[in-house]
Amino acid sequence: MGMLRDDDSEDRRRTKRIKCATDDDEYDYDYDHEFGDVEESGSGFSLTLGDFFNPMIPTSIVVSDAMEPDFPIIYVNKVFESITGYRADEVLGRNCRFLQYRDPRAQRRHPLVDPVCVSEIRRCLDEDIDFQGELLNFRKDGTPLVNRLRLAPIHGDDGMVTHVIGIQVFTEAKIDLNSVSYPVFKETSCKKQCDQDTPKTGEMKYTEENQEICGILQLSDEVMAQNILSRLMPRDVASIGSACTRIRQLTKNEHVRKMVCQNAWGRDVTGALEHMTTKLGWGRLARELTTLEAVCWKKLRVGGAVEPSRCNFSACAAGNRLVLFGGEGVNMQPMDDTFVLNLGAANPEWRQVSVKSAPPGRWGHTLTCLNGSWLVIFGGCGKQGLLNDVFVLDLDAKQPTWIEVFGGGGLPPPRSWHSSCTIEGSKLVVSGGCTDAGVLLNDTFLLDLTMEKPMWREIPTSPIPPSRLGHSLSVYGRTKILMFGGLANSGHLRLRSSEAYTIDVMDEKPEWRLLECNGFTGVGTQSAVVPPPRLDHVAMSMPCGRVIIFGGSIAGLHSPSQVFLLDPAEEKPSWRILNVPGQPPKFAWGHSTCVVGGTRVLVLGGHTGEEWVLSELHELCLASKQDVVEP
Amino acid sequence: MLFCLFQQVEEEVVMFCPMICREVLQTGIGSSKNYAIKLPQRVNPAVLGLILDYCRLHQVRGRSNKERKTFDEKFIRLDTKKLCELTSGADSLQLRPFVDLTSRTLARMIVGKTPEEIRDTFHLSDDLTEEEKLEPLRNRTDDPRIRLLNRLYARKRRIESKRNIKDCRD
Repeated sequence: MGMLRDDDSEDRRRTKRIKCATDDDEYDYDYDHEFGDVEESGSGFSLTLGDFFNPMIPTSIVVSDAMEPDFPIIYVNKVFESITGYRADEVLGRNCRFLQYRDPRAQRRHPLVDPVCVSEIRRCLDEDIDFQGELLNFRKDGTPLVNRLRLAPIHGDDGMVTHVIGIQVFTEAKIDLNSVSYPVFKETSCKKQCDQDTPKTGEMKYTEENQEICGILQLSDEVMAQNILSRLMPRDVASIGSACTRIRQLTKNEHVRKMVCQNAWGRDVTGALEHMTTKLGWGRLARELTTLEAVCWKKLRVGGAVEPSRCNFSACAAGNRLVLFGGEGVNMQPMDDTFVLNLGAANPEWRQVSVKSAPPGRWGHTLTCLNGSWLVIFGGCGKQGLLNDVFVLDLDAKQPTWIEVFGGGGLPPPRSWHSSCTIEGSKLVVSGGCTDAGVLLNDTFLLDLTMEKPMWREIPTSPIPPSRLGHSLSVYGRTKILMFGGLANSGHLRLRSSEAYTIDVMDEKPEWRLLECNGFTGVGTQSAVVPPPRLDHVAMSMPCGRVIIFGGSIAGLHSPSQVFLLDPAEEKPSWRILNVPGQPPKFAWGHSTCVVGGTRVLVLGGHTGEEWVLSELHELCLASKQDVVEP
Repeated sequence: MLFCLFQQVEEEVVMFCPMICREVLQTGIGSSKNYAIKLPQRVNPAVLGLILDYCRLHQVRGRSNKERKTFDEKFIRLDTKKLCELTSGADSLQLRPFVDLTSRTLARMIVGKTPEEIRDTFHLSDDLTEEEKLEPLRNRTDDPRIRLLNRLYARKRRIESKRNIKDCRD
């Protein structure tokens, strides 16, 4: 690397900036001590987001100085050196971003490196919070690597962040750099036709600029797309896309649209929506999810059977697959078998999953999905009374096995007909329900399943919300939850509720707050529109943060197929009615409805609502599925 | 002191820019007036001055994050033309943190604005065809305002297409 010469100026510069690194002992970070004894994790439970504790994969460590501008590296371990091919003396004093360059002489990061991930790193560093994610990096010789990276700030005595530690697990990237399409941005120019650079070296030429262009048009497409547009919400991108031709062209770029969606909805949600965009494109998908112009009811016939027949089971979706566990069979017998329906297959049919060991049979439990193909069960009513145990399953494992997770700390009391949801794909939240004695609960518990030894954490209860069962929890805005409905205590009575409460679990002191909702009073209508009180209804969060509600056991003579919409993040949230064409189901229940890919709501259950006929499903499609031609 | 663009600048300040830093170390450029650092096209003296001001503050060790943030906030109170020039210049010098700062500011200026307002703010000329602007919004929430808009757009499109046909025939 040309930068490191043995002349005086370089030495002087290096010693000025890395004065701490000579004393290696101080920074010989003992990660074994920090992250616990690795061998003990062999109990079988290993829901990890990146094999961080796997002793077989060596971990690379980097420490950067957070007090110096641009976070220069002050320490790298031997694993880093051997895996990346860069020696310590070549990298000390530099910012780690050189790992994003394919060539040591490159001046820009390689186009395949995800700029959204990079800006996420920057955001976490700005806010002094942990970062965890995957990024494309390159060895010194240009070999692509996948870097499973975790960054954590280290605080000094006075509480200021003094250093940032980076823990990396590198694996070979399975990409063929010669036959892959790059997110190429054309060089900026007034003219519509420009030469496109072959981006093999990852460098971009700068063409002669016409100095007369003023304002935003003088920025290169790349800067516009990756620095400005990627920071905007879809609505603002649509606005600026209508401002002038050049920007409009840029906003039509699929990569830009994907970045904007990722920015607005988060990477997990966007990843789940990925398969929808192969036909629709991100622009159209974003629009349809915002205007709901293509929403409709459809019917699906599937094969196979779930036998013996049962009710009160729990179902949820992992990717394209619907999973069903347990339920109440004949003679109130709690069932313990697992079934799966693969909607991605040509002829989907229900199949039983042969698992090595099943959890105790139960009904009235909750089954929710975690990251990827993982599922988690909590509570319910078993043979010997109510339960408060946690089981997880990896659907993609060679031999799927239900593994019990023993959470430490204060366990939630055993319960049934509670509600649960997952935050950020790895934290299970459980609330409310009914105890053995028939008492309703209003507590909220959180279990972080990524920890080595998961601990239950109770969110302190307050008088609200009143205790209830059969309510719904919907996650929006990454860490916020909307609770709606349920059968709640009201004085000495129990009444169906139509109240909404929200909480942000990442607050310093999270607490439930009543959401003051108004009905949407359109022109000509006098009365407010609020969903009639109900329990065991279906609630689903859309990527843009709005929540859809329908179904359930409703007081009065209201139709369960009426769909309601609410945006809890609005200043004055109000309920709206959503008119959906197509044949709706006559009944819909929360515990037997699944959300697939963020855009399809599948209601399992037959016509009458008494016979659980699982061969016919009703589907609420939120976005078009067939090929659409973009105007 | 290093030489660039016929002025002298403090070494540690200008070396804060990765591109310049690399050039200086690789080729020894900047050591004299005749061998001055050549800056990319987009970096004119005014832009360079502002960038150097930024570098001057940020390269000093020991400044707290709070100090840097306060400086940044005051620094970016510029008109859009200057901000765009700065973004462009800093991008060519690969001064990433600075590009982030200015881009964030520009993005903030776009949030919540209508296309008209954006054109005003950035002095853009409206060169979109009427066709492109009139894409219909489908309405599923029974919002009468959207229904009215759609009817207006449909009528406008009919008028436009009639006018186009007339033009073609003439």
